[in-house]
Amino acid sequence: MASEEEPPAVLMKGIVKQFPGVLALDHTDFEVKVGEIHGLLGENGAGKTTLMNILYGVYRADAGEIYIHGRKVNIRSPKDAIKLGIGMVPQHFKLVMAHTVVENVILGLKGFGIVLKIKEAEKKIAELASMYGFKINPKAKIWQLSMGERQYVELLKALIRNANILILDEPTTVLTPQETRELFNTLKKMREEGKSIIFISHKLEEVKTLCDRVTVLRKGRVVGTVDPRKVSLADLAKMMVGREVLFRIGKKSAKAVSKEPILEVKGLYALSDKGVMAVKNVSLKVYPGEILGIAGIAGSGQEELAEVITGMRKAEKGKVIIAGVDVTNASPKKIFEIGVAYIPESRLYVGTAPNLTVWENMIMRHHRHTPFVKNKMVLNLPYIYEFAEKRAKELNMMYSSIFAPARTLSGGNLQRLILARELVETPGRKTKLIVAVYPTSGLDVGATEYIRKVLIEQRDRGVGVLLISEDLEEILMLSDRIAVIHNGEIMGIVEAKDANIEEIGLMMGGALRKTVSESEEV
Amino acid sequence: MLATRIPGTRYAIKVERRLEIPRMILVLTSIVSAIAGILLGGVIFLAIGISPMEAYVRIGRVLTDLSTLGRAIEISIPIMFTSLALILPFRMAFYNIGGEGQFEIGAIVATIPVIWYWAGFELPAPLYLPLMGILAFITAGLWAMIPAFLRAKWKVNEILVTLMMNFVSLQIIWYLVSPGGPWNEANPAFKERYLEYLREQGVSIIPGFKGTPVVPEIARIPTLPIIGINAGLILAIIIAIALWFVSTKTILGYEVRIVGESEKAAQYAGINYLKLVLLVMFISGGLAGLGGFVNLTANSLKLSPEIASPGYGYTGIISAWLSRLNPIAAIFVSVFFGILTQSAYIMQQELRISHYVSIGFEGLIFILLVIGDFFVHYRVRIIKR
Repeated sequence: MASEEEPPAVLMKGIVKQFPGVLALDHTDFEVKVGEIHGLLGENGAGKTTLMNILYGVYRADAGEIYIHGRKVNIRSPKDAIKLGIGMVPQHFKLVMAHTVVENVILGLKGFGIVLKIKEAEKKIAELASMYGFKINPKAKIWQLSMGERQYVELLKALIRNANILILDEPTTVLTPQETRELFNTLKKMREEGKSIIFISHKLEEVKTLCDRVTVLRKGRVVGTVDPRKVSLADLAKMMVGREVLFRIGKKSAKAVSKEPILEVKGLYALSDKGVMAVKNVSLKVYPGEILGIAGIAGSGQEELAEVITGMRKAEKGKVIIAGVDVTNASPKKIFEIGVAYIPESRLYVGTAPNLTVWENMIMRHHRHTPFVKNKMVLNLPYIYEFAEKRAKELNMMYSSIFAPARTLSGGNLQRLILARELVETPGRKTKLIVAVYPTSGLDVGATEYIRKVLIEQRDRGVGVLLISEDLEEILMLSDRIAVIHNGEIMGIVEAKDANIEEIGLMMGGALRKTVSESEEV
Repeated sequence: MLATRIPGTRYAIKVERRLEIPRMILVLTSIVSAIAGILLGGVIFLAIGISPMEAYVRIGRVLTDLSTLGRAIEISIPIMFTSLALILPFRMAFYNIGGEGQFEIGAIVATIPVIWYWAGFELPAPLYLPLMGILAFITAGLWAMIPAFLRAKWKVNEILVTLMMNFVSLQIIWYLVSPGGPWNEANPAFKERYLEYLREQGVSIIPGFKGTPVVPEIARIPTLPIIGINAGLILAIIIAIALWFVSTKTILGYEVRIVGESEKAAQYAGINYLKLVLLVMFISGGLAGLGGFVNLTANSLKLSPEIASPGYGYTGIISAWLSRLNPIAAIFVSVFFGILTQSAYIMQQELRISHYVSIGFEGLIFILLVIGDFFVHYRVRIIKR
């Protein structure tokens, strides 16, 4: 009976999952060996998360079989999965903010008594942490921790439940480059301990440096399983997207169109929704014809900064000047009318009204202006319908009808719609500044390329662009200058051509502060 | 995404969220809820020992007899106003439960010229109706702006405020018309004139019940020739068409839709929530108030706590919902409720049961409508496993 080869930790065979209108997984096979780090690579919507949710018992497959360590299993709920030694670190952490690390870790766990044996749990946590080489204070409250530390808490939750198969869903999105490296070291230690790790990602470089094997998914099907060290990045990308991908976008160097900034922010302070100071003494300038990238970990105050600039949030102190006009705490309407295009963080419920139709979303913000209105009160519907049809065709949008609700559009199509709408110029309103917040996050490669191309085109025709992104690659690729934000403060502004990724990483993590470069000094 | 196996078979019931909601489904669930409400209502009759058939025969009779049908439409006119009033605020997810109070405020201020009349201060006859209507619209509109302002400024829950204000307006009526109150018909200020009028009607004393003197003939809404229904019907139909135009073709309607979808998106779209909600609630309260004016000058003919509004504001909520916030549909749905109420009155006379059963019907229909909403958003299929 003793077979030479140990049965795989996870074997999923012929998994099918149908969602309304989408076949999310189409007879997908997936195998993870014991003691390997297995990458699961694919674009958004390729089915990575669905596949893992089936393994973790969140969804049930319509067809297919799952074997854990060679035994056929029926996973009906996450509880079953945990019993089988499967642990999941979700993309969006499920932690109780006001509780301590130890309280979160043992939440729902049996064996620590009715009167909680906190001391015992703390000891266990300390042991696990030292074993895998990371530091954490078990008594700290979650809200006091950085995103990287919170991830370790999620990891601890799985480890204390004796998970030997760990699923990490896009774990590096919220990390600085340094934190990412630390996480990778921890994961490698876990591999040495014989744990099997499934690493979900769409970042090729990470998969290449970390994983022993990679399974690439595209549209719910397995394209192949490869050794990432034996294939090039371009090959991986091609497997993932199904065609050649441009890694660089042709970009001319910025021409100084004007010495007068189009956007000037001076000593700005603003509160977050929770009433905490999220933007602290931020000063920056964006000149016409340049892209100023803001690099920072998500949640460092950059969303709030964009909201203050566009009038969506109140400034507590400081000034916002756009095209020479003081627009501090002006209405979003006024700022829009000056010529500011704003791509907000949330595409749904801010950037669009998802249950309203495509045409209604296409004229949003322009709906009071000619030519969309006649007699000041009445919408010029025949014109609007024609406009919407034409626009949708120009944008190569996949849509059933301009009368269909916007939520039936994919993320990429929705973002095309928003960007195109923001750039519509009507008599008396020309685009002068674009404020783009995470413009390509969650988009497929085609839409990402399109959005980036448009941003560069606009820059080249003299529009100033403030680009906020959590994707450092994107910032480096598109920006002329880069401002790094940490905890609401600008840590420094560097020229993109002299940018050093190590340095930016340190600044994002708050470990390095650079004096403001000369170009910022008046 | 739920799939439940039907025990003992190879089939399972699968529930899926609809991506697009077909218009037919909306219409269908409204009609099915109404019919199912009436059928289930039969259970109420069984419970009180009356054959449901007896009740359905009466509903059938209202539909077939022209004079009772006319009466049913007459009853439905105030409901038309209270349901039309709610269409814009409900579309912007501002839940105005205060139609009842706004209706009453309209009736109260429309009574002012009536009080002047009996106190001896008479206006030129053609002025009465327009003046009373405008007064009712503006005052009730301003009244309805209070919850709008509180909501926009301090995020005070509008459901609570509008609901509580209904009690305030009712208390105002009680204060005005109770025996000894300033507007009570027995107030000596009216005595000479009112007594003279009553004698003409064959009454020799002022009874002094809780209520104002009646609306004089010069201040009553005319009855339409041939169909014999009051002219409030025409006004309601004009308003319905205007509301249809406003909500589908104008910037106002467009902005209302965006706010209804997401206040954040509305802020992004450059919509001033405060301004918009004040305007919408002015219109909403105004329309409900206009209903109070029509009811006063066509049906109740005097202001009193019982007949100022026998729940029209609340029926309007159900009617607006059943019409899926479509103003044209609201006219027909209101007539449906008028028929229900009229049938209930007939049952009261012939079967000796309280006419409040009609309110029971309304409640049932509303519950079914809420259940029906599930089928609007989800598709249920039977699949083979």
